[in-house]
Amino acid sequence: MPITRGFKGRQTETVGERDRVPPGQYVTRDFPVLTAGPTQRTPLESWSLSLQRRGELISRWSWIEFEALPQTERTTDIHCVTKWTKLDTQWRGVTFDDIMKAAGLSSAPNMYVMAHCDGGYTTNLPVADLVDGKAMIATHFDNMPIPATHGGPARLLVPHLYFWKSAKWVRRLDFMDANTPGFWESMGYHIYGDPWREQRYTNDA
Amino acid sequence: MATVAAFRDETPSVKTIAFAASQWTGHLAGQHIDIRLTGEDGYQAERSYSIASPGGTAAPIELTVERISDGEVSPFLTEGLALGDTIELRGPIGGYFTWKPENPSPLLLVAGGSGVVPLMSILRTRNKCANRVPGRLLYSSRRFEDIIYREELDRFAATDNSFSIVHTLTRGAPTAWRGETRRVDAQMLAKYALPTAQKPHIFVCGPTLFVETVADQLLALGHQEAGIKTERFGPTGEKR
Amino acid sequence: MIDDVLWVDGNAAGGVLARFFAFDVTRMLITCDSCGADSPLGALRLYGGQMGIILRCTKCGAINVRALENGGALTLDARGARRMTYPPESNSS
Repeated sequence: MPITRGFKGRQTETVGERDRVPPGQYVTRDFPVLTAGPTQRTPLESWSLSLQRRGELISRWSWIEFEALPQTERTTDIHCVTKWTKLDTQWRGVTFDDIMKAAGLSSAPNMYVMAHCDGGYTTNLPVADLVDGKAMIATHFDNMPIPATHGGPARLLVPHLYFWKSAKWVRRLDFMDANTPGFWESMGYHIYGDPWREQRYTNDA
Repeated sequence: MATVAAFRDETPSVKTIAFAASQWTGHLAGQHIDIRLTGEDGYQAERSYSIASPGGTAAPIELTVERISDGEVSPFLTEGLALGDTIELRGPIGGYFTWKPENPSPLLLVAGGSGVVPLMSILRTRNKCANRVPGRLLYSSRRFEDIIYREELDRFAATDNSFSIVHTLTRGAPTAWRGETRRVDAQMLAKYALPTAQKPHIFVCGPTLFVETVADQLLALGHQEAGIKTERFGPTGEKR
Repeated sequence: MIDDVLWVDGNAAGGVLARFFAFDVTRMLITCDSCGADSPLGALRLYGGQMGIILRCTKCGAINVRALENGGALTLDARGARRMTYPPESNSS
């Protein structure tokens, strides 16, 4: 592909940050908003989070009930497939482990989960990538409630995978037997999405 | 691939770049091109820019680019390119937001800032016609110095009885200014938009919020949705 | 509330979509499979930004067309468009 003389993309990482940045990414101080549709604005009175198994309800929490579950804080780096990386983002929410515990599950009934969101967005994940502290349903960013444009009142946070997996406006987590592709995965983004192996698209190793 | 042939400053933050492209087949007024830039590390950025030069097959193709201070692409295009540089360019694109001289309807053009670029392509195309449909441009700019193509537009208005411009400045006007001095609003459109009975062909271009507001108000005045074509630049003024 | 500065006109997707079609796709009339409304593709609401192309019906908001340039491959999903009609060339564009 032809190189454009003199063009440099955004390169703002410092020397010490280089090894925290996966291949092909650049560090941003912004928090870009990318969306497949209009911002969802669900009032807290109507919000609920459901845990399901193949569409059948296991447990459901209203906002008040959800906020009463054990809260975990986490500072982590996030990586978007569109190549921006943001370091040291600070979140608070309920870990997937604590959600399972609150639902009375000692182990997951199936190997995969589909996250369903207001507005129709979906993304698929192996349960193994949600448990052991790897993922949470986040309600706060930087000690403030997550704004609607960034997925509030609650979004999935799975920072070890590309950020399209950290689904905004999440409402249902549905256990499933097969790793059915979600919204972007069915269009050609990678079924798993590990930024360290640069798994952006379906045929990437 | 296209080669930089010339530059022209339009305003302190806006520059026109002329490109020679060997495989250019011509374009319609209102169309755009996609530019792709590739850094040495393989990093790529793509943006769309409206073509400013009149429709037809003549070279060069002109783009008018506003330098967005924290932009990624526009500072490079306006300050980093040199004569003779080549860049990847795809187009022309978009038959939806286009105007052909054979169209008999009167023309109403509403521009917000750099949204004037594709509308200028329409006006330059119209200017080459022997029989010109009546036309009006309502053009919103920040300050007098920010008016892109000001002298050329003044010339069109001075030499063509069937064309008129209404300028409005949103951040202050020079003394002796005779145009409007606020954001385009319902009153301004009611005053200057062509009558609905004329069924004008309307083109609105500029930042998303500007286009939204103007389009809503034109509909409220009774203009037909099918007669209004819109081109929204993203919130920063860059298309996508 | 106008928070939807997150979309632009479908016309901006013309460049990518040109690789799927032999003719100017922005003029194509799309019939929404959800509500039946007709619209030129260039007038649909384009979401997705750098993730990909998501074209939504201006009447009901349903997704009509999705497209993605995915690392050398191109994927198009038009199940949200019940019908696509390419109108005849006319003098009034």
